Amino acid sequence: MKKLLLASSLVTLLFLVASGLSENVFVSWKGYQKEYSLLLAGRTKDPERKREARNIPIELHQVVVPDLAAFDRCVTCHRGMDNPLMAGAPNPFRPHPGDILSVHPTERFGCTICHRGQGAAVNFREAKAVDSYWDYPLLPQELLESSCGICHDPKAMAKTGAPVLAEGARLFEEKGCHGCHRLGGLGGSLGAALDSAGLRTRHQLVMTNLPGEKTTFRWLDLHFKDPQGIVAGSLMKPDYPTDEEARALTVFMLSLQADRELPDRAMGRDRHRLLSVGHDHGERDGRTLYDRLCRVCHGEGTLGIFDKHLGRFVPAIRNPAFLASVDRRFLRANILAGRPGTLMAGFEGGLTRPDLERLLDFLAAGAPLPELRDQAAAKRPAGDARRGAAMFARQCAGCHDPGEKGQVAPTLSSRAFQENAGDAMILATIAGGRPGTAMVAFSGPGGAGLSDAERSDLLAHIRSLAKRRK
Amino acid sequence: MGSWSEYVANVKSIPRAAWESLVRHGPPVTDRSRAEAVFQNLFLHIHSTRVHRWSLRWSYTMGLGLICAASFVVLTVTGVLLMFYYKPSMALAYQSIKDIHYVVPTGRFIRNIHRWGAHLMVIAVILHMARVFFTASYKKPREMNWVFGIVLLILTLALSFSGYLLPWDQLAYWAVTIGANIAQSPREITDAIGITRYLDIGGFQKTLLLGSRSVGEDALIRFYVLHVVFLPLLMAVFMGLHFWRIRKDGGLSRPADADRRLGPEEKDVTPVFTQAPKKSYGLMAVVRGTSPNVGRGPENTLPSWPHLVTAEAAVFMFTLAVTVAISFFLDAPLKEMANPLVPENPAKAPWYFLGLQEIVSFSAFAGGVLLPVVTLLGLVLIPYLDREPEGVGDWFGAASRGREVALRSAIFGLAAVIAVEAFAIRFGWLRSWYPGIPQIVITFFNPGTVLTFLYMAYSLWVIRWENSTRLGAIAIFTCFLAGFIVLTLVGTWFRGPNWEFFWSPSRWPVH
Repeated sequence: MKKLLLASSLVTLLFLVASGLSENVFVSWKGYQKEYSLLLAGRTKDPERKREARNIPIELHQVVVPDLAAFDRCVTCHRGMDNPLMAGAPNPFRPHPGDILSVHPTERFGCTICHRGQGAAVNFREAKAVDSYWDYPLLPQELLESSCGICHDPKAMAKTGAPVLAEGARLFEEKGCHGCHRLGGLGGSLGAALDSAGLRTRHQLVMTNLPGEKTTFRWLDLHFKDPQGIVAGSLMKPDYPTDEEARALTVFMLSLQADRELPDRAMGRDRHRLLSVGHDHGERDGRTLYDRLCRVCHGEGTLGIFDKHLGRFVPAIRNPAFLASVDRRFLRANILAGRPGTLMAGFEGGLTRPDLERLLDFLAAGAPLPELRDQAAAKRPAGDARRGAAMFARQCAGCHDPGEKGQVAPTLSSRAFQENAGDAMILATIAGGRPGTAMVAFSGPGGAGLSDAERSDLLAHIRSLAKRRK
Repeated sequence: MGSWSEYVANVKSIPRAAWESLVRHGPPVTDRSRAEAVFQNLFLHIHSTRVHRWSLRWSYTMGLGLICAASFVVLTVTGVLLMFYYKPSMALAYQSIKDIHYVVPTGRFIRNIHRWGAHLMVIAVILHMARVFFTASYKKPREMNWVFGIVLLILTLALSFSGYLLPWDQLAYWAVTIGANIAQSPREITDAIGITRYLDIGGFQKTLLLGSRSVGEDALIRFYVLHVVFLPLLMAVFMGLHFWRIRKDGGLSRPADADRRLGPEEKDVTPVFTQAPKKSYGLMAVVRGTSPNVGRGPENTLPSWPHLVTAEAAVFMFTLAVTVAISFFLDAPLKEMANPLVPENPAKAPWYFLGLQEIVSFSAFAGGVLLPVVTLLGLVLIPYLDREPEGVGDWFGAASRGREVALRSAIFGLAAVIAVEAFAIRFGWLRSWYPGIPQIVITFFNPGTVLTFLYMAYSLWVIRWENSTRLGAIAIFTCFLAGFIVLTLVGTWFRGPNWEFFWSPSRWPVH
């Protein structure tokens, strides 16, 4: 009994002393501060200054910036941040590179607003906070420019300190990312909205296939290079960017932090503009809109495309024959609501009305595109849906198989098609086909020779598909 | 001059005089002074002056009750230390824990002790309860002290759970969110009857627990007050009652023939009655019940000082040593700051509730309310349903075959819980076969209720077959213990994201 008492007491004492020492005496930051004071003393000539440097008290330092929620103790080890005498010294003693601190003094901005990481920690491993329970680990140096974009306009930074960020913003538009991703009120809804992409934590991304450290920035980088390798079944088109392009895009993504609440003093004109009109400053003519929103799937839009990646047919929306058979109402409805059953997701909310009209003007390319086409052609004897069905199975189902979801050609039973495609348009398309696509002309000169009556039968069958959906 | 020399002598003897005024008995070498060492000391006089040798045997108590009490002391001290730095508000709580971790001298260590000590206490309380049960110590006259013990079990779990929210990290937030939804689970019943609009017990319980509709500022301050004031006070009161009743009920339980079985004591033990007692034991004769010395001499007892006091000190220091050793090497978990937008998957309650959460995954009401209530009610009723006097003070004590029935019950209990769980994991449950089935059916027919039914049926059968209520009690207690352990292990190790089955946490999809 007494032996147990003695042994337990000794063990307790041992660990009490050990933890007291390890948490208070043998801590890395005290070592760094001693090293710093010696280094500083060695770099000054003035004996008075030398003595001062040697007698710097060893104590914890922190920068508290309440309105940025920063409690940053980085300066406990990085003592030489604003001391030019330490130029050329090794980390963590050297001064902050560049002249950024003169515009963004540490005491007003802290460290973590730009560098991320866990400011409260007082050792490097936990300050870096990679693969630990911390939402925003320390940013690698090559991605640091992303933090400029929290307050500043990326495109305005091309020549003023953040060229990579500016390049990322440019690439985002050039590569047509808006086609699927909404950002700044512009873009499709097939992919995730990216207004706050930079605030996502590792728990919000699928990390299963990411080798090595599970950080959001590594995820972004590898995801740009191989979307399907990181997210199995991702619809994102592999673009095979170079390392530099992937890095620029990653930097741009990390800069997107619309949901982050910032104090007014950090809300410069730039940020207000970014949040209200988007990264392109609202400069959107028809051609630009087409390139950003449509091109990534439809290409130039004059030829029907079979997209190998998506495994499906993409309609030629700038094909003159197509445009001759549709009206503005049809196009507008399809763009806003999308085509259910296909990958064409609606742009409602991702495209303003003036932008939409500009886009329609561009599609029409100067040709007349009436608001509503004359439906007079529809007033003809009704066709026989049964005969039409037999003909459809022979002639059309190979591409327009209503059982499949728009595998090769558009699904004709979808609500968007049935409600917005007028009879006249359907008849005209069957007759004239779509030059440049797989849809050939079925009557008229050079056509397959369908009579008007047969076309009516087909139309009746196609209309009956709508009822069958229910 | 005489008074001068007296003054000098007084000055010289200040330490001795002070000591003598503090400790008003001689060195504890005689029986009398040993007794005085105990009953003249405020903190020790909760002990009787002499303690039976049976109560001092390690193999009997294993010091488990003392470990519980020691943990409580350790937790109180470290808890008060943490209160100096902890700030119970949503904006500051997490940051203050980080500060305790990084800046407060030895703060990390103290928080670790508090966290691991809490887990240790829960384990010790459960083991202590098992010890008391299996040695049949709940029997007359100790029935009410068993009930107090159950109250202490509930308080221990409540204290641990209320402390869980305070760090305001993801772990805390989502564990308490689960707890709050369980509190709301009576809606399963009221919804099924269609009276939720008029009598919303679940909604009331949840609001009572959280102070609002979701886990937020109100919940945090509520849990804080519960954790640092309300529950510890209740705990102290019931601990006092518990200890008081031990003495009033005649010390720790022991078999009627303990004296005969103990045999002569070892040579080096402080001998029994070195001198005739100078204290009268006449008062003891008027005490109700069977206090140790009523009607006979205090044979086979040893002075509490030093025997019991040393043992207690040893257990206390042992508890502390284990706690600090764990706390030195392992940091208490602290995840990301609570974020209502990023749900933890899986969101798990503290480990001791994971057995229940396993049932909750089928029905929140069954796992969160029905089964706990049935279990606690059963525990409380045990001493009143089983009143056979035999077997008190012996491990697995019963009139006969206690050990054998305990073993068989353990095998049955394990087999049943593993079979039911394996079935549910392999083939699914009602919801997977009949997606449209009303939830009320699953509330009353799920692995938890099936197991409870099997265990109850088995123990009733044991009562009939063995013709012994004690053996029936052993059967049901052992079964429930087996069920608790297996379900807790399943909930802890084998359940991953979306509460799906995984052979080990390393196979979880990383998210």
